[in-house]
Amino acid sequence: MSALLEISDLRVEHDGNPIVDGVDLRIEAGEALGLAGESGCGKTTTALSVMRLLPPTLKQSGTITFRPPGGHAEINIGRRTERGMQLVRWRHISLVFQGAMNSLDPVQKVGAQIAEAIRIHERDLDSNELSERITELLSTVGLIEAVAKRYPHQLSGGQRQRVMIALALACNPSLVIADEPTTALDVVMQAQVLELLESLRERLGLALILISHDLGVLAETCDRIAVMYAGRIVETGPVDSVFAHRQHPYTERLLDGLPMIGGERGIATPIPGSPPDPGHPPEGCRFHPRCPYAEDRCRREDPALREVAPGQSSACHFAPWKSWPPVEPKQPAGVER
Amino acid sequence: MSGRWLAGKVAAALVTLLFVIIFNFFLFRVMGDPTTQLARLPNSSPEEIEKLRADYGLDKPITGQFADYMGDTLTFDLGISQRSREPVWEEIKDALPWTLLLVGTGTLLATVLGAWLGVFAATRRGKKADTRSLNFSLFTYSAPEYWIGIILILVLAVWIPVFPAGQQVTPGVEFSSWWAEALDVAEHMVLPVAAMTLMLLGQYFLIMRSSMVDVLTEDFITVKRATGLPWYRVVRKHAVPNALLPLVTLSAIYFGAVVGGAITIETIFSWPGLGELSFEAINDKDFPVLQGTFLIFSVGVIFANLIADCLYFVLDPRVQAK
Amino acid sequence: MSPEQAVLEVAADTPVAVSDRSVRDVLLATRRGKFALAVLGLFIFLAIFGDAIAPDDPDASSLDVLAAPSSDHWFGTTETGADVFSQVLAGARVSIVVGFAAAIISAVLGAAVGLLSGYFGGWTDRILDALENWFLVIPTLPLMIVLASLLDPSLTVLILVIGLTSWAGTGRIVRAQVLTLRERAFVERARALGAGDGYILKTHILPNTVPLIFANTVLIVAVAILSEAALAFLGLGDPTSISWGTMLENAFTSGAPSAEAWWYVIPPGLCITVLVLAIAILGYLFEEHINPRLQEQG
Repeated sequence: MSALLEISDLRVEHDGNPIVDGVDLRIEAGEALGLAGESGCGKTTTALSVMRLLPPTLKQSGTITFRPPGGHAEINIGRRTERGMQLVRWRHISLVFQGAMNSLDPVQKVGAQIAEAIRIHERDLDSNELSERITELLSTVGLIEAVAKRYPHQLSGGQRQRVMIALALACNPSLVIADEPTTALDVVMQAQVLELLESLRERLGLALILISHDLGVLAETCDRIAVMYAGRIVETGPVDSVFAHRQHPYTERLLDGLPMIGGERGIATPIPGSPPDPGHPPEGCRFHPRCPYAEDRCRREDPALREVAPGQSSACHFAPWKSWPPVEPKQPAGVER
Repeated sequence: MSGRWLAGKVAAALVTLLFVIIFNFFLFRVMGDPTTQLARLPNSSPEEIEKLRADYGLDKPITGQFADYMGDTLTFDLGISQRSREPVWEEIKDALPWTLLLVGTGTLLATVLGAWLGVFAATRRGKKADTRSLNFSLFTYSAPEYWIGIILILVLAVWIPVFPAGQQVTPGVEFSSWWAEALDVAEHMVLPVAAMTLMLLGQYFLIMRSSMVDVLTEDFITVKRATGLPWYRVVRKHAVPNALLPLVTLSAIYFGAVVGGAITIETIFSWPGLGELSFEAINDKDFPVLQGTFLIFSVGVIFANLIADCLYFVLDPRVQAK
Repeated sequence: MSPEQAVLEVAADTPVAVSDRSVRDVLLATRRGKFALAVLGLFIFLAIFGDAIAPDDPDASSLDVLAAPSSDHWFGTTETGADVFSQVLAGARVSIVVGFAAAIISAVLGAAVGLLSGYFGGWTDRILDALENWFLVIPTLPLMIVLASLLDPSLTVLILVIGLTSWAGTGRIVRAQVLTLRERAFVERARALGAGDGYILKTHILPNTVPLIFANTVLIVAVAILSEAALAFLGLGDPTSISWGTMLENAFTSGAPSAEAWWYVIPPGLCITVLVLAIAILGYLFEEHINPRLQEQG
């Protein structure tokens, strides 16, 4: 039991409606875990719960255990007070948001924002050491020293995103959560940022939770991937295995929509229907109304997440799937094995 | 390059000022020249009116009158009061400090209290404290300020005679020192300033609250929390400075309402400022004075907008870059 | 209808974002909304039927001067011995009539200026826009005071004065909206099909600005009521009618505060406050209806 972060039965609800409905996740030190799914499936909420940053209208329950490397004591995030969490945040776990447009205080210089974060956790630095640290951090992400004196609006989108990454690394955390870090960027900058994240990860031994609805991004950077649907994890496993041998119809449909170079040409078929309303999830398997392979059992029984191949788990009654029967675009077909 | 933006604003203000002065001239000629108003007053004979017309130069053609007016106004000659026969400018000069005292103190108090209350309510959005503040502010926002003034007089000057019911000093008293006189003025200031503050409080509160609510939904607030900053510091150091920016510009826009309030409140409390001067001018149909005070009020609004622009310039680095 | 007309009708989308909930739902959803509607309804009712309900003639004087409330006079009497309650009822009519009439004038003017300057641009826009900015800079109450004192006081004068000085806010909002609408595809389509300016303005642009105009005008009603009261208080009201503002003026000048005649002072001001409050709440709810983003932030 030496996972860096272990989430067990995480539930988040709003007004009695579950947004995250029983999520289990593990991430090892230095590992990159991808979290995939449509918007609204609960990915960002899960990420924010790890840092206990949810707005007060959302109620969080479940166990989150963090084991900082280097022999520090185990941290039970669920039981920490707010003051206790302030010590954990940024020092051990930090965050990179999408679209750093509004992720930085518009009326504060960029260097000052990094300095502020550092000073919260390391009080004894004098101003020289502090500015050296900032310069170092900025150069790690490929920015020159002068950037520290600028305001966010004076930087380009790519530069702002790099500042966000520098900021996230400021206190040497062991886990960084990146929520759609490349969504607001163009393809070129996207590649640069991903490359940066990857090299930093190797160099610093960081663990990374990368959240994205863009499976291509996850395929490139992650070791393992977890797919979420309607507040639950429906499949997890090593990224190569999941991509090559998906074990859940939702994953299959998601990946089917991905054009693969060298694959067949055709028009991607979107998954018909839309995610369920958090207040009224369907009976049985949550995905069954949109699943082309749904059968009677799926309408009655809610499948649990279970291991169906080495290292790979799925929440589908019919997993393990050896192959995926072709599907008529508009009608669910019968299941063939 | 940032200085240029500021210079542009000053230039625009001067241009607006010029138009106001020109407009002022035509406004009072709308219903014929002012002597036609006098014709309605009893006791004015046609000869008197003719003489007045000549005195005021109203028998000249309109272009001549306009030239006179522009020349006069730009040299601070705003005419002679019909009632007191004193130069209008002198009367305005005497009254102006009192109005500034009232309006300045009231605005300052209202801004500070309103902003504080706005932050208080926004950080407790949806809870009882928020709803109560909202209801209170909506009430003071809707209530006529002179009515609040009258009630203040009723409660705090008549029922429980704590404060004087009017004027700026106790009449007929010799003061031993300027300090004693200042205290006396301060005592007389309490109720009028309270009325002015209550009138503006609602507005500033609503603006600040809405601005804070907007700012608190921004991503950077979550990021600041994520860095481990305690909540009160996130609010104080990052949310409030960003929320103050709209408050500055919006309160400048509302300055016109402040002027209106000054008129009615001064009237109630016999406070010897521009408002009281205007009120008497209305009753006496003293048009030179009305024209003069109207001009000064307009200048005040332009000036307030300019100050707000300058403040915004100082507070918002995004503007400085232009 | 001709094929061209049919196509033109189809081309008229509704680009103004209006939330899915109906107006009635929005107004009745919150307690404040219900309260506001009830209050407004009450005052409109009083405005219409005040005469019938009033126990006394509001102008009737008596010897019972500045008397405290009693069973004869529920709100006591004025300095001329008139019944305060009856006067309050009479005042409701003045406030409602002046408020709505002035707001309608303001709305029509503002909409007209906004539509013309936004749609035609060029010199029309520059002149009208300058005029608008003008009115926005000039402090409103002093301007109203000046205009009202130059003319003979009457309700009509008040309505005109208030209406003619409050249109600029609506004008500016409408102009901004028209500027965005003008560039939309459906306008181009209509033009390509040969529609004239008048037709486009009337059928395509105007309907899409109506929700905005309406929401803004509701707030102007509140401002108009406050303005009428202020002008009346300063002595510029209609001497032949009784409004809440004139009641306050009379109360003040006859020394009601020193006489501790709270029954004379509180009701008219309270009525103004509550009515304005109700209208302001409704106005805000309308704005939320039009701009659904506000609903989440409440």
